[in-house]
Amino acid sequence: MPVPLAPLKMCPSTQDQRARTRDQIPLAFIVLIAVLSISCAGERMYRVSDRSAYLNRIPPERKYVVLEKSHFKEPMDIDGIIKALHDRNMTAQATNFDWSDYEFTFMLAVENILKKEFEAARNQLTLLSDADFDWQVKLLEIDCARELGQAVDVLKEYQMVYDSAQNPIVKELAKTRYRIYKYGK
Amino acid sequence: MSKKPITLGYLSQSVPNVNSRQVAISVDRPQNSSAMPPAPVADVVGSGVTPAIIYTGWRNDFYCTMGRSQIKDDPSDFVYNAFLTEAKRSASFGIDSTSDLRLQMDIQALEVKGPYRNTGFFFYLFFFAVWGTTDFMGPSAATCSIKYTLMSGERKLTEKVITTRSALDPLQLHEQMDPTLLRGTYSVVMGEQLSDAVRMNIEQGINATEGGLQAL
Repeated sequence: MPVPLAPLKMCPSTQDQRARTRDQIPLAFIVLIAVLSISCAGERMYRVSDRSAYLNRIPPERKYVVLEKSHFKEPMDIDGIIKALHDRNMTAQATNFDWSDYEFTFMLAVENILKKEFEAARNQLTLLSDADFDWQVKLLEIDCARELGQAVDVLKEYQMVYDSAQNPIVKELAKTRYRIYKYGK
Repeated sequence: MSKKPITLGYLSQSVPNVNSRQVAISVDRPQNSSAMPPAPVADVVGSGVTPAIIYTGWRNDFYCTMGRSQIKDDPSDFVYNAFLTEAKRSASFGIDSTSDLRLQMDIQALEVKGPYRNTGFFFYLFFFAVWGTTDFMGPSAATCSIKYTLMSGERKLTEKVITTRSALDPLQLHEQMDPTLLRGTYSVVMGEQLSDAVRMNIEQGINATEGGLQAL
C-alpha cells in the first residue's frame, strides 16, 4: 500500500517522482499550457483554419494560418480549401476553386509548409507581397527561414508583423509564434 | 516548479509614435530593490490525511513563489533595455545620455505567486485496489512595481510608483499530465504573467514620464 505523501519542504519538482496524475487541472493561461505542450507534441506544428475554428481552438497551441472570406477576391468555399490543404492534395483539387494567381500561389506555399517542404514554400512566398493575406505571407516567410536554419531577428520580425497587421487575429498569431519561439520551438 | 530559466521578452503592444521628439532625457540603469527569492520556494500551507479501513486519502497544499534563478534575464538590465526600446517606439521624448533631464527607476517589487495542490487516494477491498494522485495549480498572479523619478540636475521633478498586476481566471483541462510537466507549465505561466506585468508597467512608466515632462 502506498504511503501518503509527506509534505514537501522544497520545490515540488524535486519530490515524489512516483506520482501519476489523472486530472482536472485549473490553469491561468490556457494558451501557455499549450506552449509547453508543444515541446512534447512535436509533430504537425502547422495548422490551417477559418476564423471561428481558430477562436475555438484547443491546446496544444500550433502555428496557425487563418483563412477568411476577405482574403479572397471571389466568394470561396473556405472549408473546402482547408480540407484540401489538410489532405495535402490542393494541386489535384485546384480546378474546384476560382483562384486568382496570388491566391493559388499562397495556397501552394501553405500546402508545402504542411508537407514540411520549406524551401519550395519559401520560393512561392517570395512571389507574393509580405502584406498579402493580412501579413500572413510575412509570418510564413519567417517560419520558413527559421525552419531552414537561417538567422532571423525573431523579435524584430514578429514585432513588425504585429505593428503592420490590422487584423487582431494576425496580431495574436504573431504573439503566439513569438511565445512558441521563446519556449524552444 | 521547473528550474529551467525563462526570458521575460515580449512583443510591444503600444502604438508607435511617428511624431518628432522635442525633449530628450537620459535614463539610469534601474536599481533593483525587489525581494525576489534567489530560487523557487514552495511553502507548505496545509496538509492532511484521511485514513479509513478501506480508503486512505491525502492532500498537500503549497504556495509557490517564483525565484530569481527561473528568470534568464537580469531584471535591472531587462527593465532598462525594455524602457529604452519602448521609449524609442512610442514615447514623445527622445533618449540622450547627455541630457540634464534624468530618469531614475527603482524596481520595488517583482514577484509571482500562486497555489499548488497535490491530492491522492488509495482504495482497496480484499485483493482489489485502486489508487491515483491529482495535482492542481494556479491561479497565479504577478506583480511588478517600479518607482519612476524624473530629475532635472539635482532637482526632483516628479516621482511616481507604478504597480501593475497580471492575473487571469483559472481554467480547467481534462487531461492526463505528468506532474513534472505540470510544474514546468506552471513556471511558464508564471513567467508569462511576469513578462506581461513588466510590459504594462513600462508602458505606464513612459506615460508617467511624459506627464512629468509636460509639467516643465
